[in-house]
Amino acid sequence: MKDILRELNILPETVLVIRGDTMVTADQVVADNDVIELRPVMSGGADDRRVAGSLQASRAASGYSPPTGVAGSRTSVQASRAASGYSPPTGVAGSRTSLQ
Amino acid sequence: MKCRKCGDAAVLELRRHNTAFCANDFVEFFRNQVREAIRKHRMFTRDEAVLVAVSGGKDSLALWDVLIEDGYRTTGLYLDLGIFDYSVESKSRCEAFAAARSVPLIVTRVAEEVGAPVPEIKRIVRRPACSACGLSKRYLTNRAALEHGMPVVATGHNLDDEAATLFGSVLHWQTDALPRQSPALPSSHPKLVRRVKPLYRLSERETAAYAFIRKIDYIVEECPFAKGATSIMHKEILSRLEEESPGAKHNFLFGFLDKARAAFERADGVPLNECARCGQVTTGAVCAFCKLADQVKRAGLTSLRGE
Repeated sequence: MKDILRELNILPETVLVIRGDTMVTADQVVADNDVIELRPVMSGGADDRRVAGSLQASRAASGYSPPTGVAGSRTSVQASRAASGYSPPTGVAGSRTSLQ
Repeated sequence: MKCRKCGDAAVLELRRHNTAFCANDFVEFFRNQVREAIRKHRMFTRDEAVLVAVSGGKDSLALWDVLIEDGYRTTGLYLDLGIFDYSVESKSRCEAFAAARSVPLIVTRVAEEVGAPVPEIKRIVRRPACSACGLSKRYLTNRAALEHGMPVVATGHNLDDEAATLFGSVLHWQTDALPRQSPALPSSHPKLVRRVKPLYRLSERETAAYAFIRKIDYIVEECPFAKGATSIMHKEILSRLEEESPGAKHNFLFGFLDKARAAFERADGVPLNECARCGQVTTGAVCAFCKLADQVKRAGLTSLRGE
C-alpha cells in the first residue's frame, strides 16, 4: 500500500486505507484484483461525487476543487493498475476513480 | 503489522505513538484519550448535561458516540446552515445517529435565526461564508445551552484542527487569540457556558478511523465553502511535517499548551456586557450576531423595494 500511496502522491496521514469492510495498514500487500478505497480524513478536502447531483452543481458554482497532494476524494484503486507503472493524474479529483 | 496490545493483525498504525492497534484495541485507545482529556481539564462531570455540537461529520459524531457509550447525559445540537444539499445530507446523518441511539437532538435553522441561509448571508455581507458561519455557530450553541440549562458545549475539534489554528495564530502573532486556544474554556460570564474539546488529543485520521470502525454513517465531504480556506492550507503544511517527523503536530500543540500559553494570558480581560437587543454576551452595546441579522434584514428590505 505504501508504494501505491506514494505513486498517487497521497500522504498516508491524510487517508484511511480500506479494503472490503476493514482498514489496512500501509505495510499490507494488496493483490492484483483488490479494490482499495482511499477515504480522505482532512476536513475540507473531500469531494464525494456519489452524493446527489445537485451538490455537485452547487460545488461547481462555488468553484470547489480538492487540494492537490492530499486525498481529495473517496478514491478506489485497483492494485494491478497501480503497480504497472501508471502515472496518476495530478490531484485526485474523482470519486471511485479506477486507474484505467 | 501487529496490534501492540493483543498481537492480532493491526488495522491502524499510529506513527506518532510508534504503535499500531487492531480494531477493538484502537476503540479502547480512542476512548481512553477522550477520558484523559475530560479528566485532565475537568471538562464536565457525569452529573452535568452536555450539549454536543454536531455537524454530521466524523469528528462530532465520533465524540457524541464516545460520550453516549461512556454514559454521559448528552443532547445534540445541529445547526442547519442551509448550504444546498450539503446541509440536507449532514442533517439527515445527525438525525439518523440520534434516532438509532435514542438520544435527543435539537435542530436550529440559521435562516430562521439570522434571516437568510449561509449562502445568502455570504452574498449580502460580501465576506467569506466562514466568518458569518463561525459567528452564528458560537452564538447559537451558547444560546441553546443556556436555554436548555446545559452548562457546557462540547465540540469535535481534533488535534489537527487545534494545531492548524495555533499555526495560523503564530504565523500572524495574534497574541490576543493565543490565550483562547485551549481544550477547555471556562465560563467567564453567567451567560457564557463552558466550551470544551474532548478530541484535542486525537488526530483527524484517528477520529475517521473510530467512526469507520464504529460504523458511524458520517458525511465524508466537507462544506463546499471550505474551498481555499487558510486552515486547510495550514493542515496540509502540518501533515507534510508530520510525514517527515511523526509527532510534530502533537509536539507543536502540546508544547504550546504546556509551556507557552500561560505567557500570553492577560489579567485585564475585556469587559463583557449584555447585548441591548438579545441579552447575549458582547464586548459592545449590540452583539455581532444582532448586527449581522440587521444587515441581512436591511438587504431583504432593499431587495423588496427593488433597489
